[in-house]
Amino acid sequence: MARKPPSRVELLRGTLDLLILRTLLLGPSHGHAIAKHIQRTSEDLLKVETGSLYPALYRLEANGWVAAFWDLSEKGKRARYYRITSLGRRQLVSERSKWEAFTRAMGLLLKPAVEEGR
Amino acid sequence: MISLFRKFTWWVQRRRKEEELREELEFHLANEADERQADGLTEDQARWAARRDLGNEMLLREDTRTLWTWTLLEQPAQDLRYAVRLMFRNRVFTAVAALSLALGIGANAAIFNALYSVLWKPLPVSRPEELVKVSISFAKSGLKDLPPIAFLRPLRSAGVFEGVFVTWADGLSFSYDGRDERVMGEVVSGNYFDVLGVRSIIGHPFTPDVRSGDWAADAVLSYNFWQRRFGGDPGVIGRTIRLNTYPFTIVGVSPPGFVGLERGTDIDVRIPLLPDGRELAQIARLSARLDRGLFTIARLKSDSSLAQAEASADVQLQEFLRTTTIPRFRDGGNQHIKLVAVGKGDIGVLRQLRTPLYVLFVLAALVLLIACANVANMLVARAAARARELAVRSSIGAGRFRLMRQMLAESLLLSLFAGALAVVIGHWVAGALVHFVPQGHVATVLDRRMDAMTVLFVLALSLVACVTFGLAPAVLTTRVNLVGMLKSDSSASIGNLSSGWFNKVLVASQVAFSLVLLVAAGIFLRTMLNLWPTDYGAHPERVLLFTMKPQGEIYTPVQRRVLAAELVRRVSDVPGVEAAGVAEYGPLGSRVSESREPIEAEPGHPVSAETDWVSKGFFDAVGLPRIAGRDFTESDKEGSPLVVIINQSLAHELFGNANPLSRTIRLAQDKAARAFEIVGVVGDSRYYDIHGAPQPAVWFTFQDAAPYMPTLHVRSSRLNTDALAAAVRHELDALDKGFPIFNVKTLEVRIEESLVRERILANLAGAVGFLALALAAAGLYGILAYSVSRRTREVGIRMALGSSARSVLWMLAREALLLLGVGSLAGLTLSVGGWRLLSERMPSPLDR
Repeated sequence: MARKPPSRVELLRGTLDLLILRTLLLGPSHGHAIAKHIQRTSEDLLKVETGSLYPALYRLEANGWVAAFWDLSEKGKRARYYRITSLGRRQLVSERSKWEAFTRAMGLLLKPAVEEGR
Repeated sequence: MISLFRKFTWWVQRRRKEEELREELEFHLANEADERQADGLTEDQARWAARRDLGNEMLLREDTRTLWTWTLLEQPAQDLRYAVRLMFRNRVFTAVAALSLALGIGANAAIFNALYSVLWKPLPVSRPEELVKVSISFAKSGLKDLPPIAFLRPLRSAGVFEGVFVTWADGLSFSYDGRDERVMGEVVSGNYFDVLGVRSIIGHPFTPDVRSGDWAADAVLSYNFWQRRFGGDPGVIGRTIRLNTYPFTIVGVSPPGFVGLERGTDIDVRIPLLPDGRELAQIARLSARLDRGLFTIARLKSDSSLAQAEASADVQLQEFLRTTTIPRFRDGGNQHIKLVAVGKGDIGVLRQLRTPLYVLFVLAALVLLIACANVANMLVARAAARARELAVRSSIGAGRFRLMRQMLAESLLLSLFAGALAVVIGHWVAGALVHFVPQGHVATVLDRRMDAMTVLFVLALSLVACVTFGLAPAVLTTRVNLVGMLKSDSSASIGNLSSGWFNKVLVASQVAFSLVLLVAAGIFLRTMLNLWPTDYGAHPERVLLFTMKPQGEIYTPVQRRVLAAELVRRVSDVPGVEAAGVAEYGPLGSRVSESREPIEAEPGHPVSAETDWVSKGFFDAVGLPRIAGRDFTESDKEGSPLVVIINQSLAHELFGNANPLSRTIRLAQDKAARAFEIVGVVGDSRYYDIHGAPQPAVWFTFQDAAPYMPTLHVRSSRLNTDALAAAVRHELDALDKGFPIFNVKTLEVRIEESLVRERILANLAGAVGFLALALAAAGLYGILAYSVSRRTREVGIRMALGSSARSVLWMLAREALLLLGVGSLAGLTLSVGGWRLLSERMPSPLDR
């Protein structure tokens, strides 16, 4: 079968939080950079909708997993930066292990079906 | 889980949060646009692309905002804010709706307040439920007697009571400065206030000596008396007052609202009982003779039940009976202790208010229903005017629930506003109610302060009213036809709603209920007029009554007789006095419901007759017609031949049609078998009981009895009785200043007071009925005016097509007449049913 060009994948519910936290592990960043980073790192497979990114950031902040502060961006403009908190790190660890368990389970379940279909 | 704390802090700085989000998004857009420009787009294209990429910015903001908004709280707040704005915009609507509701709620509040303070309010003492009245019941006769003072000590040692005290209320002659006045006193044990748990508002509830059992001439004033007689002067403590000429020292003032254990009885002053066996010549009632029975009240220990306490006290009683020398208990056979809870307080004289108040409560509820129907009607009509607004709101996404909530918020605001107004109206109506409370020889107080309970009741009623009048319009008017409404002018689409059954049912039921109220008012008025006595000659308003209390401890019987005769002589000579005389009770007095004796002309044929003791001039003063024979004279005195005057009924019962003059009668139970010669006959009257038929009656004069608490009856030739009252007081002062007079009023007032039940009902039901009628009329007008205005076009077309004005008028009037007819029919049916129900409870039928 010919490989289709990579189409964008819809983010699964709840995974956006995980991705944001993971991104912030690299260091404080602002919303736009976070979105770009996720997009780039996933080789453009994942596109973060701006409409869900910002509410998610505020929600994470409300949960105390990230902290926000104002700083100057690389271009010298005022931007709202986010950094992960220790509470956020703990959350990331637990979310990641949940996610890994989930993908493993999905993998186990999906594999035989794929082989049978061959 | 988002912590509530953070949510709250964000909510506090929500403006800053919004600003931050705005700036952040701006930054995002700028960055995005820069990138796109770098990819080769023009500046404009890049900016638009960035915006497209962002998507619905409003939605984004809305989503983020949920983190610091409280939808559940803020939406109702929004509803209320909007409702307030609407209320102010439609001032007339608000005023009319709130006023009609407030009248309905206020009437209910006043009557609830009266019922509460008369029947339900707990006594203002600590833990009233523990208080019991102690009495001794005789197994043989089944009668109860008051425990003698000698039993007080055994009772206290029974171990089941936290405290025991005795009380006895009686009139006293009070002098402070100037002339004596008669006050209600209560003789109580020294521990009275301590057992009740009542503190004085100034001074002490008796001095420590008295409270620990010694005696001193302490007096504790009631709050009302302190206000009335001393103007609330806090300097009264330590001053000397005289009660029956004996000096007492004011040591304290009891708190407002405290009236003792009998509701409504206004005791002016409380003094301590003397210790066992001691007596005070001036105040016989103070004495603690060991055989004297007094009201005995005990407070149960918190761990003893009524039955337990009764058993323990009974053991003490049996022990007491074995040794007592008091004949009525020593020879009384089997006796037992009875304990009765008195925490509710005896309602005493206020009992006669009970039925009228319940009836009025029902009537007031009907008024409230009518008012609710009215407001509901107005709301529906207004909703029609607002149909467009509702349609617009629902087209931009307001759900039906949201619209209903909005409407209910408006109703809630309206009803709360009305409730606040109702407290004021209720207070005023309660004040009017108090005027009906009869003031007899014992003053009656009604604590009509709008207490927390009444306010709570008003609040609850407002909420109920809100649901009653608000729910139906909210449901009906939000069921809108969106398309029709937005397209056409509003009246067409909502028209079929207002002309629908809902308003018609409302108006018809208003008519029905107001008819019920008017019929009720008519019945009550008729009852009162039928009972209004015509027995007492013309102009009862010109007959002045002065009740006197020459204290028996100060004046001997001879003195009292002489003073009374002298008073009648002097007052008869005052210019403007047509006639004057004293009577021990007089007609329709508050002191006795009746005083009766079996009378016989021949042994073995007794006739029960009402009895009274009067002086010469009495019959002419009250206006009882003298049919035959003569009046009493001054020569009918002690030692002269015994004479009586009887009424026609008694004459007929005793002698048939024979002439009763010069015949003699005896009191059937008189051991001395004294014979009284009949010297006069007077007309029949309802003498003691205004509700019954005229009874046989006999009048003695003060030949072998002295006046105890006589009433002077003075008939004036003029209507202005004030000047006469002053003149009579002057004569009294000239005669003797130690002769307190009180309860000064006209015979007319006394008649009114004995018809208190009927008067309350006739007056208030009348007022309520007209209120209801006005409300119903307003409702009817409203719906007709609305339906006519809606049909202007139809009328125009009809006229253009040749309809006569008359037929159009008829078409419009038909609707109103139909509503009226249906409503009246329903109202009459209800009235008949209601009257049947009522006449079982209140024996004051129309057919008398």
